[in-house]
Amino acid sequence: MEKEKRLSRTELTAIANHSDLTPEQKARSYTEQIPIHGEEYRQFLKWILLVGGISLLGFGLVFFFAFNWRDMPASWKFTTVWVFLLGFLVPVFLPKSSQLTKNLLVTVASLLVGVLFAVFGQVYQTGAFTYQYIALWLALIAAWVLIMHFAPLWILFHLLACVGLYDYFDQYFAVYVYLFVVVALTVVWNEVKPAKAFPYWYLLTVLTPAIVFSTARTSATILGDSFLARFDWTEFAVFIFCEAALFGLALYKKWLIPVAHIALSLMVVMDAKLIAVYHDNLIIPAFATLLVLTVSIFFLIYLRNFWKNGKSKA
Amino acid sequence: MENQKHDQPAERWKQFFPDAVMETARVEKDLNYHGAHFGIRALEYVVFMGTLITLGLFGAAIYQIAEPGTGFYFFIALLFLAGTVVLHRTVHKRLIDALGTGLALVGTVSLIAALFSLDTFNDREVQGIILGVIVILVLVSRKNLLTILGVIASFWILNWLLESRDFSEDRFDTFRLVAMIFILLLGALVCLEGFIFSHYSRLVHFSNYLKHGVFLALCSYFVLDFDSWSWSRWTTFNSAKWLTLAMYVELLLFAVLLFVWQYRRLKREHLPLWIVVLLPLSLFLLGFFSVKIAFFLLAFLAFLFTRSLFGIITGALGLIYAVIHFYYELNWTLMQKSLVFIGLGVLYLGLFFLLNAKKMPHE
Repeated sequence: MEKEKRLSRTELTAIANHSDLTPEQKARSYTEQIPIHGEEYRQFLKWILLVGGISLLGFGLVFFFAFNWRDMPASWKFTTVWVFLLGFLVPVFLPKSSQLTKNLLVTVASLLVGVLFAVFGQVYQTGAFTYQYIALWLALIAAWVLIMHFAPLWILFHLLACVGLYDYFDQYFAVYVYLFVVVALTVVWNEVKPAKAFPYWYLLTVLTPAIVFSTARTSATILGDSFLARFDWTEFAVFIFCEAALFGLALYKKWLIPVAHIALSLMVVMDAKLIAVYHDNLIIPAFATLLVLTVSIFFLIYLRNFWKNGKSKA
Repeated sequence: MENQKHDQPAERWKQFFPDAVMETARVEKDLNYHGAHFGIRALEYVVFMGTLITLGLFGAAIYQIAEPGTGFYFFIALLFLAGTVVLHRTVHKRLIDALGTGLALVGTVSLIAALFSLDTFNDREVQGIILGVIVILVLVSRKNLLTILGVIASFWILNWLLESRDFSEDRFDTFRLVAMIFILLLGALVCLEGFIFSHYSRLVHFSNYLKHGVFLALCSYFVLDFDSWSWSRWTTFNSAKWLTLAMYVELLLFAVLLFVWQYRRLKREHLPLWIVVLLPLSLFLLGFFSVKIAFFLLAFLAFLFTRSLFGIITGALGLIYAVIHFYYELNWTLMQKSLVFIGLGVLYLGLFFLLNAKKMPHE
């Protein structure tokens, strides 16, 4: 309760600047409102000691066994891997563990699956950092990701999936299509299961690389100056479909940041097309960009004013 | 939500300062300008990026058509830099601030082009002039994005400027010196926040922007790995190692100062010395093995103490990066690394149980 009552730094500064508070009163209000309080500090320390202790011990043991790996018999190696994983997974089933602790333990265990492959299997030394390795990692943690339903764990999963897809296809088309599909599925999930909805920051984390990759790839294919990227109408249609679907969704959900992303993305793709059409002559793309930018800003200001009383997401 | 939260702001403020006379309208105006209101960041982002793309295209188009000379570049630089100052000093709107920052960036690039095309200045002189212009621009403007970008740019220009003077045989020695000065600056800005607030409250926002700029500049320094050292290989001890060791000592002194300051503040709340000073200090000692870890850990704790969300998140991400990077540190064997981690892990878990077992006086 006390935390909710505190003034923000911005509020406190505004009050200090436009009131008759003396320097002593300002100093006292700063000490009361801004720095961390004793109980908050104690809670934080407990959390950091637990998480830090478990993580440091885990990684210390991984390093220790990696160092002595050659000298260990095969049965020991097998046992070591299982001991690590069980060491992180067994506490999840303890009745006193909080949900956050369980989520963190499974996230560290999921990370360890890959680390154990990499360190003990010495995948990184043999140059075998391939999609098979990622696919196996994903397959092994997929059930944990689904059961725990923890946003950072999902992000780890998507990160691995993107690396695997890029490794397999050797280009970003599959990566951004995957990310757009994830955004669509997340929105559907949030509608169907609002009690277990994914947070807005999670959506932005998935959506931003989707737009960046799709814009970069489409612009490169249009300009045609990359040997990795050849223009393809089907791919272009998929890009337009993804952006249009996301734009519609953003308007429906009143999300301003995705609209801003799309505005810039379409502007960059339009520039690429105009530069290609006018044979690298830049004056027309420059004027077109100025026009589109002005329209976009006014459109965004209009949306902001229209939405701002009814929605908190930016 | 933001609007709903401030439905009755004046009454809420009065609860905290019942005897103070407030100019409520001006407080609200200040809040409207500085607050993170709905959608403002999305708009700032579009304006800033859009300005850069548009001006970049126009600049390139003019170059294609006319191949302009030095005079044109000077004209553009003067126009945009003066425009930034006028906009930032006269209009207090977040979108105009973003536009002004875009103009300043293009103006600075034009100035660099103009100075180089003159053929009268060498690299070092151009760097010096640009550094001076950026510092003046930041001091005059004092706006959010411009200050942060200006401080980061100043950090790197200062590094290249000093490095070109060949003070030392080792590459990047001067970088270490500049980083140490910036660490000093960051420490001062964190520790003096309360003093600035009580005595120079009109400079609070600017000092915050400076703090974030200095922190991001140092983040870029550590992430780009200019701090790497061979501390464990004593046989080839050189000036780079001495400087990195000095940087660690500097960070350690700041850590002691910060934790003692927190102890003095928190002892009224019955938190014992070992929790407030000894415990974070033991955590901090991990930084002996990697000055990168020391920096991010100290920054994380410093921002946590002063409840700065941006610093906490950036510090935490930097810390994760630093620990991962430590795995690839070739100056320590896996055995040494493992023993350090196991020892610290056992220590922290022990302290966790001790902390749980020990009841506080008010409990």
